[in-house]
Amino acid sequence: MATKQRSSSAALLRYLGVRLALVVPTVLILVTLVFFLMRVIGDPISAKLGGQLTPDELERRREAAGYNRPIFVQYFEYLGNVVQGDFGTASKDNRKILDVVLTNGAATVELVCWSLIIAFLVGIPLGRLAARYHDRLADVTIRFFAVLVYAAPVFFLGLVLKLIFGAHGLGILPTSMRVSRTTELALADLGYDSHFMIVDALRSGQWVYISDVLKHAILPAVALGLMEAGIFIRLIRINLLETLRTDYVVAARARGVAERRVVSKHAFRNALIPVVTVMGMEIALMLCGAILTETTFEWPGLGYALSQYLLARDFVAVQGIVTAIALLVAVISFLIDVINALVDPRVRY
Amino acid sequence: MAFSKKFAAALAVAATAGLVLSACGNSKHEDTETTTPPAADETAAAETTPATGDEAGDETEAAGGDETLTGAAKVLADAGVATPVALTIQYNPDHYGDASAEEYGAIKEQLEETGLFTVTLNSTEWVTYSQERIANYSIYQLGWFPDYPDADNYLSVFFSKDNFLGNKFDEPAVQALIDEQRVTTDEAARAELISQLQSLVAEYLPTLPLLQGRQVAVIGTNVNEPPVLDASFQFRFANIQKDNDPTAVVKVGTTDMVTSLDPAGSYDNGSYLVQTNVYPMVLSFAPGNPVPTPELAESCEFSEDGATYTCKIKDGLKWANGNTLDANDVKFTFDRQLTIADPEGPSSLLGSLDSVTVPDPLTVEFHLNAPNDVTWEQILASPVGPVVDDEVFSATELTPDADIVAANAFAGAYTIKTWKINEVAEFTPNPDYAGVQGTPQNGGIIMTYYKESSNMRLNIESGEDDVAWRSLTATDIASLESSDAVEVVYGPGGEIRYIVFNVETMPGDTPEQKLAIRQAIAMSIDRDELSEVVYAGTYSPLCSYVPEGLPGANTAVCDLYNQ
Repeated sequence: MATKQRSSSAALLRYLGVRLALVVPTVLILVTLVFFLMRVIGDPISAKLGGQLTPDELERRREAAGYNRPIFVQYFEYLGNVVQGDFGTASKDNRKILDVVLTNGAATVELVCWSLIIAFLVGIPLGRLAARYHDRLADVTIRFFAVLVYAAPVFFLGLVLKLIFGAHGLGILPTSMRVSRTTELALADLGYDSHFMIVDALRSGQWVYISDVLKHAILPAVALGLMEAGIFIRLIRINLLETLRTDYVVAARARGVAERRVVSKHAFRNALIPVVTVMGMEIALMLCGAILTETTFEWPGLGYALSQYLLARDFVAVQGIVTAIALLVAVISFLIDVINALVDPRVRY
Repeated sequence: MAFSKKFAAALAVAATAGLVLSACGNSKHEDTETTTPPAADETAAAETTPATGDEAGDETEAAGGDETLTGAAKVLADAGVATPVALTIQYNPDHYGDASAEEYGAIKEQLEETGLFTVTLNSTEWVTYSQERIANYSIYQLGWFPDYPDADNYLSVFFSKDNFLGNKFDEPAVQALIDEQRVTTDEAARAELISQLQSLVAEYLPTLPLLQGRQVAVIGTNVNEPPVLDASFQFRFANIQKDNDPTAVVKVGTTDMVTSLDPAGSYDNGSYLVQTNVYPMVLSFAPGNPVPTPELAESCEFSEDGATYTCKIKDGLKWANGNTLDANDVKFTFDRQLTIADPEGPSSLLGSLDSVTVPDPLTVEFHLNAPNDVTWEQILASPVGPVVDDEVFSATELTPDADIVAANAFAGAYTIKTWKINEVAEFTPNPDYAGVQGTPQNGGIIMTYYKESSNMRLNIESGEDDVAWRSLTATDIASLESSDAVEVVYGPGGEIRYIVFNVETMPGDTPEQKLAIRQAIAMSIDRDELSEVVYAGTYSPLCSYVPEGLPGANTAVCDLYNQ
């Protein structure tokens, strides 16, 4: 028995080790692709000054910036720097990429967390309801809602929310930024600069700052969270329906357990396992959605920064941010794998 | 050669359009010689009745010498150009504003209405566009925002040999006038030369001016002192005030992003806006006065031979951090611009500077490589001019923003308290500032940087911001005009929109035919329609090369082709 447990643990470790090792080539391939693609589509100097300098002067400046050197020289130099932890400096605004990744990354993580909360708050109860009232009006309505919010592009949903709740509509919620400028500067004055606005606001202990942060988070979180909620609703509904058909649930019913209790105590937890399984991919999807959400709501996260650097053809910044996103997705996927492996013994190797 | 000598008050500044003429049926010509344009009198006579759509539409073949033809049709017929001329027009949809597509759609309609042209519009994303325009486009859109508010900045960079347009325009008579106006110190005589220069260029039409932008700021109703928008094209914080309260902090929004706080590492509107408010200059612009005025300097003058420009620096000046501010800082500033020559910096503006010397701590001498360069004072007040602290900035490389802010290396009207680049910046008044911008009339400025102008619009309407600066869309501005919550204020603009012709590769078999095609295009375009229909009046017609508001502005192009 002990031997069996040891071999099981070893297999788990081996499985996780392989998953971890795969992160490196995944990120490397992505960085390589981005490096070469970005160089095909222009350089930051042409992007900024192409309309005001002579061709000779532009060429001189490109030369001075090193963009005319052989591309493989630039590539290996970049990789060498990355290995040493130096992601370079953006030419668009001279920010250290590591600083961009840490500052804007915190904003993105915060947005994804808020969105997950919305997704859970909306997706789980509605998914349960739909399963419980299978093929009845509530189910059909909820399924329709799920398809609608999932299919609606995030930026479109964002625009609709801005129109309804912003200055042109009800005027009750802010439509851009993570927090009002006065709150941001006041928190900075207090010395709170963790890059996680809600953390800084909570540390200040002042409700006016906390509520300001929460109010700013609502619309972006709803825009991004509803998309995810649509997926959760359908996943939970279908898994719950399958679980409700299993023998042990039938047995529970036969024993006279109330339907509500059958769903909540017996079926629901097991129905959540597949949700955890797809969570890694869903979070990656949310990061993509975050790019559009952040742009729509001026949320200064990684996606917001990425879109600006892309327009400026700032290779260094785009490479750094893509690497950061790749690492973030890889790490989250790895963690989900770990959780999955722990909760579901069928998942191994 | 007769020149138009009208001095008109022209207000427009304009920006660009790209037309690529594809020579369907016309073989491309590689001639390098340019043609002598018809005398202005002849041209004017030919164009006194511009072709209407109906008139021109009847003519589908070249008919040289036909006395019944008028305007554009006659110009083309006289040059033996077969019509309709097939044009491919290149424009850019992302760099010069979303309305570029609409602008060029309108131009296409106007040209095709004459029956003399068939137009194909092509658009290309900016990065590709800026790389391809010289080699591959023969008629294309461009725009311009001046480095300094002087007529020269609208002429020499465009019409000299080896200009940045790369359109092969090389006309000795034009070059001679460019060179002469640069060293003519008598203002009236120089204005006359500039006017002559524009009239001559108008006859050759290497570019076609279209529209002139206006400076537009939207202010909340609580703002009792709006920003002064003048022909210096600078946005100064100092005079803005809200609630009649000199201690109230004013919140300003913009979409002009910043590259760097270091003046050696940036060459863009967003960075320059900040720099003009936090760094002093040897010469700068007092509100309402587009002529450079001594700021750090007590006085400045050219030497007898015009090759040295000497400034006496005010005594007792300090940086906000307590460091001494004297002539050594000035020399340090210009030396490091030339040394660093950053790829994204403005050092190319210092082409006329040979060296800087400091005979004593309160005197700085600029040794120029061409005597009596009348643009030199403008250059000192341009993006290359903000003076920096020689005890904080590096002499050989760019200094990071964080180091500049931490060292409080400012001596302009404001210092920077909080700096989150392209997100938010907090400026506080500098109590020691005694420069030309005047004492700050507010308790500070909070600057918010927007990526989406639509969000900036929402926040000015909701009162989250007090002032919205560059750039709202024409549609938003037109809509805000009717809002009770805000007021729209205007000032003369330096931005121009224009069409570039590559005089070698554009359609036409001979230089004469190419010129005739350019002239016919000029006669067929209705700037008023572009201004009103496409830009809701936020751009006004630009009838010459130097925009209205600057010395020497006239209406040479409209006089020749659009009367």
